[in-house]
Amino acid sequence: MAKAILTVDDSPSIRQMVSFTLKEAGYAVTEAVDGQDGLNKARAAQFDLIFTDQNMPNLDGLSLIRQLRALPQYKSVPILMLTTESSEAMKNQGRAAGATGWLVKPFDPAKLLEVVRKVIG
Amino acid sequence: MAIDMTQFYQVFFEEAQENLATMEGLLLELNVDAPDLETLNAIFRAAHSIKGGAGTFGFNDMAEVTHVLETLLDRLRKQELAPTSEMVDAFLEAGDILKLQLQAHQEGREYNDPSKAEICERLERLAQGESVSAGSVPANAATEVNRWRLRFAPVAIGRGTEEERHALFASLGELGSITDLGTDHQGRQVWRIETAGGRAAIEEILAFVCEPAQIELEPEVSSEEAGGLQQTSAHTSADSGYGFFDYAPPGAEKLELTHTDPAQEDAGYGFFTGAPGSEHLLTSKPALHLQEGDGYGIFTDAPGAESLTDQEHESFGLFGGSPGMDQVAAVARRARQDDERGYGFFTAAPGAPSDAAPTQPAAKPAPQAETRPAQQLAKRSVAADSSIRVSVEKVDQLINLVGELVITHAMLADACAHLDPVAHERIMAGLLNLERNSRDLQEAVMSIRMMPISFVFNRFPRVVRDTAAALGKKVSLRLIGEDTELDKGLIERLADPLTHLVRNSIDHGIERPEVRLAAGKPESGEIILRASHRSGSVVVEVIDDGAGLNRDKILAKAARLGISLPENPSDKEVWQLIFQPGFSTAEQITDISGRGVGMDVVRRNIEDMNGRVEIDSVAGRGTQITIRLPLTLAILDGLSVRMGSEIFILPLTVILESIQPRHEQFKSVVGKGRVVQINDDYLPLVSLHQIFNSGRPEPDPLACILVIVETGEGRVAILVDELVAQHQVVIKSLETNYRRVEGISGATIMGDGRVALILDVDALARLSRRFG
Repeated sequence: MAKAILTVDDSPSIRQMVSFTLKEAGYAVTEAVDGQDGLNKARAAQFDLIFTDQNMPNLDGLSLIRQLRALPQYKSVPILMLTTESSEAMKNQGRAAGATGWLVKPFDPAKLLEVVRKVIG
Repeated sequence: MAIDMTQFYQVFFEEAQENLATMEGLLLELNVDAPDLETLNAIFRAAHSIKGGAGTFGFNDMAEVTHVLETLLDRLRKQELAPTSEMVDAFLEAGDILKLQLQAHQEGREYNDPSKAEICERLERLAQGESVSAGSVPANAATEVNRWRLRFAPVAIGRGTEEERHALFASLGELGSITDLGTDHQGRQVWRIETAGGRAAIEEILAFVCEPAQIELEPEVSSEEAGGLQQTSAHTSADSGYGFFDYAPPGAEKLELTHTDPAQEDAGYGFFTGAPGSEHLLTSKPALHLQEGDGYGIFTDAPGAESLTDQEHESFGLFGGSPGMDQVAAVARRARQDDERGYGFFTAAPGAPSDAAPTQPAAKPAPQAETRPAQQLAKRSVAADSSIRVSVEKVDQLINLVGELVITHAMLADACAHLDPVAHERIMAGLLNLERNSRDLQEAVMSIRMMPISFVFNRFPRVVRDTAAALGKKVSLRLIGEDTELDKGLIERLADPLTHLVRNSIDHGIERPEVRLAAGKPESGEIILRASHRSGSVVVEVIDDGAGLNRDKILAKAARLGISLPENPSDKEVWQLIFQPGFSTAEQITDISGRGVGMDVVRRNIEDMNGRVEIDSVAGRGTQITIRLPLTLAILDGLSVRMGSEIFILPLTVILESIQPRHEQFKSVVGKGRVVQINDDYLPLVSLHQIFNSGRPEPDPLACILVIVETGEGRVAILVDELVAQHQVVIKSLETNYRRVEGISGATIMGDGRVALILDVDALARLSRRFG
């Protein structure tokens, strides 16, 4: 069965691109429009990998990751942050929140798939 | 994998437009003295989203501007700097440039303008200038003077006389300092303007005078400044404390990043190594074996498994020991069998039970999360998932089809009218159902095209701000009834006339602050834009508390133009004068405190939408302009009237009353034709027979009915044989299906299949004068 990926981003164009790229590569993709939506969708179904943006209305990426990590079903699921900020400070915050890794924006589809393959095969 | 990125462009364009609009709205809302952190966050998010998308889709020029924008915004939302109105100005100007860039990309061009470098430099200076003296009083960095060179041919912009030129010179001079450089070799006037206000402020003033194409406005850059601009245009400070990437200069491969510090920023992705809680890992980076690559990184320590280290690649990274890491390790181990290039994933047994013991739970509180869970702020919310974008043509087609359905029903009903309702009970019941369903369907389809008027109102905070600033006035804007819905087509066409009215209100209505104070009014003027639904129409009002119209000056002007007037004209009649084409020449702008500029165009635009404009004004108290519009252009509430064997439709909105005339009411006035006396007024009589040349003898007026209608030139009485019924009719364009006919604004199909023409009362009044 195709691996299920949740992509959380408030930008429709980025969401569409991520989702399209992953779907082309054979993954099952669900989109969420902000952190809160992402949390709700993650609760409603089990995903193998979650991508989240950092800056979003309602619930930002770091908060989302923290809340997901508190859920038993997402204790060890890879969660990657899509971020324009790749500073050590941001990384440390991500790490502390429980992120598995990060991917800077802008990114191209090939890079995205490279990371996904590394993480869930 | 090659993916055609162009397929996402359209979504990005729309999204960026929305983000720009959101940003502008929030900026205008922002109270510089008491900035709301949530607003700053939301502005940041909007800029940030544009940057992310622009970078991803290869619009590097936009990414560059949003990048500097974001840098400054980030410092604001982190409260490292306090917002100033200079910053807001710079943000708004940057937004304008982004709009132009976006538009250029949409049209497949590149946007090139020196103002981009200028705004980037300004934003950078704002972001950096204060960073030196953070905490102390902010340096006065933003009030740099921009020098502009303005070239124009005085005659071409309606400034032929010395006096007029002088007036323009003076009003431009209010922006800063202005120098007359004489004329150039083409005989054009050349002025130099030095202002902190920027291009927009100058253009704002000129907008009252002429089209942008008639003037030439260029930034004047001295040579040392030009050097500085180029130096600072496309890179950012490396010490900004958070890893922004500089964008490659134009020509470099898209999306390629240059990095400030290879050791740290080289990576666009990374995986974290330190297991949450294993303190040494966080501090001593070299020991981490952070896997960090081109833009990503992976932290490799599975909880407690030291061998799983951070992996950091060019643009991503994985954190070792982070909760998802055992998964990554498993994948890596699998991958290693067929791919030996090895990013340095370590294959510590994932999920080894022993791992769990020394590890603290992942959810250890993050150090000072700088973004709090945000409250819902942006007006556009989660609608993305539950709505679709459809082209307007498709909706128009639907509306057209529903119109046909309504007509078909009317035909069926007509055909069945003679049937015995008892004997044909089922048909009758079916028809009734059909009628109800098609009416519901019609309403539902119409509502698709309905949009809240906020779509046009939203631009006005900016218009008011800019215009008031350009004219040195203080004006606040109040919007009322923004949720009022009307047809999308009307909304688009309403924007121009409304902008004109609002600008006029500020230019000619609202007095200067000192004048207001002297008159005992608050220093700041107020403009109210109010929309409401009133008996089937939409009413939009532009209300100002300015000086009001000056009756004497308008009358004097009318006399000079030779416009004939009744002896003691009512205020209403006087106000109507400013809609006369003659009143819109440039000269009146300054010498009449009224609104001379192009009001005839405003009225024509509104009338083209089947709407009406009215003016109400009290000297010293203000002016109110009321625009009344139909809800939609696709259907019309009308009264069908019969003249001979023809049926005409009169729009309900223009009808004042209908009366049965008496003989003594008909009079003939020399030079004016036939009139009807109604109460104490004499109204022109319009005979459809005469105008449309029915070929039949004129019917006896006493057997007819007079319908009194309101036209742009006052009331007139239309002579008809009979009032038939009130309908909602589907408007068909006569122009597209046949040709334009004077006196007729459109056509509709009646229940019996006949075509009925919709009367244009304004044109009828004009025609009738010609016949009279």
